[in-house]
Amino acid sequence: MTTRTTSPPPAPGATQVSAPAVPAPVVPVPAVPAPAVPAPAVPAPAVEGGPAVAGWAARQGGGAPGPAVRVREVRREFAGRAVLAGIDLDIAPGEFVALLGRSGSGKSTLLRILAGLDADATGKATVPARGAVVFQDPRLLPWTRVLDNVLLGLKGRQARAQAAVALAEVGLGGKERAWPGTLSGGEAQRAALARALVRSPGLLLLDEPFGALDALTRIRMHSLLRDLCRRHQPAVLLVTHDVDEAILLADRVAVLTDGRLSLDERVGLGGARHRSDPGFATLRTRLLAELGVTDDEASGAAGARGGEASGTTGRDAPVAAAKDAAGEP
Amino acid sequence: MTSLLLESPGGAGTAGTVGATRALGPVPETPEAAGPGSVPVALADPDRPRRRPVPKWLRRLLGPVLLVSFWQVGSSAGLIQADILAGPWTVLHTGYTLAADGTLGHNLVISLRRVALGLTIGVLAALVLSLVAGLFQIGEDLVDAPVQILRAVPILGLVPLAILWFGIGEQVKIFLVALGTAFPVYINTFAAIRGVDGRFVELARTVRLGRLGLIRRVVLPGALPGFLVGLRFAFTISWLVLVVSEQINASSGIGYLMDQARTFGQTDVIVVGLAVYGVLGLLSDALVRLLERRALAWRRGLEAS
Ligand SMILES: Nc1ncnc2c1ncn2[C@@H]1O[C@H](COP(=O)(O)OP(=O)(O)OP(=O)(O)O)[C@@H](O)[C@H]1O
Ligand SMILES: [Mg+2]
Repeated sequence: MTTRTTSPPPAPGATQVSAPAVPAPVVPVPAVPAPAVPAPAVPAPAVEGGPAVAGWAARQGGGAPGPAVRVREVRREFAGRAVLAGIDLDIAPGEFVALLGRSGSGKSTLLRILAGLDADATGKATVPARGAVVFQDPRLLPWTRVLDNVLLGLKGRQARAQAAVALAEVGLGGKERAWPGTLSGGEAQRAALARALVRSPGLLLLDEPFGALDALTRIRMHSLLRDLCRRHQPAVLLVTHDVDEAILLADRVAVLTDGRLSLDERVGLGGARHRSDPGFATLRTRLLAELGVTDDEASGAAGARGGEASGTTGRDAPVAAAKDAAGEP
Repeated sequence: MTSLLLESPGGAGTAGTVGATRALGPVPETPEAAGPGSVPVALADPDRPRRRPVPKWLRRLLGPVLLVSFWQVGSSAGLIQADILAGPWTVLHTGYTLAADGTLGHNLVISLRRVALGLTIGVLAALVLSLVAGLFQIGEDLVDAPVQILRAVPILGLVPLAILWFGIGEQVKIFLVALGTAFPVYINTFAAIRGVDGRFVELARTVRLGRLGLIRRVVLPGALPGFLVGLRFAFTISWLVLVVSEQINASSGIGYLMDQARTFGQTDVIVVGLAVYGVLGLLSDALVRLLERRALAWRRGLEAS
């Protein structure tokens, strides 16, 4: 069942939102069985950007601000089939949540709902005013130079300078004037990450952002993402197929099964995580089991490489080299 | 579009690490050269004197030059009567005379003006209509169906009606050119707008571009290649429509010049007119190409990678 470590109890009677909560806008998600009497809107006290210094432990304390993301009873059906059958999820400001699930389980669907891209979902969701999305594909406008892609939707000289800084942060300094079509896959994905970060989002939504990258670039992107999250402190929802990636990066891991979050728990491994950590292996086994992969299957998949579980489910191929990056700072 | 013709810096066919052998047919005698079942690869002999290749443009010129030569010879020998087709030399001479006394320039300017006006009006109208139809559902409902129906009507079939509406002044020609050019521009631009990748539209929403920003940053640049394709068609069609409408009813313009020449049997003048149309067609095509090169620089980046 859903174990939630951070969320306050669900607000009773909050079924419909008629007015956008300030400062957190409500993703326009109409309630399906609309009650005859409109229920009052529940203003979710979301904090934008997250506290600048507060670490995870501090946020957990009693006086912590409300969740940045608050999802209640979100449902989505496609052709009568409920892909999301009532999702409840809270993400605290600055918290990093990884969402796992089999292919087709509805992870992208949930992410798109939170990004405000799905007008047909029902339920209630509150997100920070400023969100940013990194899609599975880089999605850079091919007719716009890299810097202007990063800047897309922002105005002013200051934003321009920040965009250049963000590009440098992801290691793309000097590529400002390049056309996206001339970037390599990893470079394009990093540019997409820069585009998300330059917005200083209160919520960063990542949909398998590293799925198409090679193992080495992936390792580099992991540490880059960790650094950037430490610096910018957004709430993060990372959709991934890769169990190891989830455990390495996230404060919390959730598993989506049959339209519900069948598992949602903290990763109690501290800052520097290593795959050799026994806690790591335990959690991975748990997660894999939750995903329907037995230990035997997992080790069978990696049998040629010393029986170590691949840690990868779904359509992605196991990433061998990623293992060596486990303890990377 | 891009041809994959790779050449090593040293010129074509430089021997690689395999080592050059002249052996083409039989398996080389040297026993260590190949195991059983191996086949020699034909490679060029590095010592062979290399011929300098004839430039491509020169080779391509050969056919036209031959054709004109035959034409000239045929005319000189009396095989081609002057009242059927004047010889190339006569045509050149007539062209020079017409240019020198200002007849050609005067009529050319008039024709150019008609095309320029017609094109401008047609392209602008088509742009507006395609934007309205492409961006708004109600616009599509109102605009697209009528346009698709009208498109089926051959534009030159409208000439009698256009003469009834506008008389035989400048307006008819401009109207016909505008109408003829509007369709290809509309159809290609509308399709291009509708073809803009929905993922980019989603992106625009996530970065909060707003409607105007979406149009300016995503829809228009995304539809530009399609628009340029339409523009190219429009240029071609504009000359076509102009030729016909100038020959049917006009008192000036290149087409009028040609029609006059017909009544006097001056085939040389007619050929001069044809040549002028041809050159104008080539020039306008080059213009669109230039536009494409400038506007679609990002594509070159794609191709270069
Ligand atoms: N627009 C749509 N129309 C119909 N069905 C859809 C649509 N979008 C998603 N689905 C269905 O919803 C289910 C969940 O899709 P979703 O993209 O969320 O999966 P996912 O968990 O992200 O999978 P993956 O890991 O492969 O990306 C799938 O079965 C898919 O077929
Ligand atoms: Mg997905």
